Amino acid sequence: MNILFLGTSGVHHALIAANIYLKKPVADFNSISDFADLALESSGFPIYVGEDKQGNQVYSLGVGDVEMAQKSIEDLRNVLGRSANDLVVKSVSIKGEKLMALLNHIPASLGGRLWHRLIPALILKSQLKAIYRNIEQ
Amino acid sequence: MKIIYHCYGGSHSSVIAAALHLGLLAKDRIPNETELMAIPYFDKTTNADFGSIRFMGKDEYNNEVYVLGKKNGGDRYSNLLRGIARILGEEEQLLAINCMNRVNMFMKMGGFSSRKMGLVSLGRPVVVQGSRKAFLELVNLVEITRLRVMHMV
Repeated sequence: MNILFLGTSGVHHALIAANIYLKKPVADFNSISDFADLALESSGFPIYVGEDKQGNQVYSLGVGDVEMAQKSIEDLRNVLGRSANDLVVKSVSIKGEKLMALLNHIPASLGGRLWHRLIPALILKSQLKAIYRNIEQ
Repeated sequence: MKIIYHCYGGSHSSVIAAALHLGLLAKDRIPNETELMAIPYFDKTTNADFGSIRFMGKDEYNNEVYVLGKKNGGDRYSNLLRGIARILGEEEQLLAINCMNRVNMFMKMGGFSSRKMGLVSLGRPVVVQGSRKAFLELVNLVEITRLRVMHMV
């Protein structure tokens, strides 16, 4: 089975949720593989995060409109003749998620580290419990 | 194979492209308003349809043709769909086509007025006019797509 964590940013909260699910350390965001990698985010492809103990492949994906994208992904899964046994979509929602998605659009040349890493890190630190709650649901 | 034509609202350019692909519209003649309005979903979708992949029919090679409205998703949305198909091991079964580069200002303004604002009597004539102007561009897109499908099958 495949598990996809979906959020407004696939390299911030959705990625952290996927790492928490895989029981990887998330205390230092900068040590998380692909964290704030906007080149990866802009491609639109799901980001492979790892495999859980049951052999499920875990991914993270950032989309502008989470509800719309979840509908498309689940429709596509059905169109391709697959079911929730093949792909589970888990949306991750936190406060400040729309702001982070907006910050992702600021060019790196205009102080990328500040907009793409430092400010999101502050938001994510305050929302870490909410991310855990998202996974527990 | 599954072919998904997508545009902003899944209501105009993608629907015309899918209709052309399926032979519901003739390629050598610009359709009139009655013919456009007879296409399933043309200028009929609502906000609830965003993100829904809607079946339009099967072509002569049994390929399934769908339409999708993805707002400002752009080409990134094609990659999203391809990425999901890849995860499921079905990437070669999917072709996602972004129609937005064939859309003109009339289609955008008319589509916005008719679908987003609900001003059908104002927007529909504009979007129909825009669709007629963009028609041959959409014919070209569908021809390219059909060639790609032939190479992929």
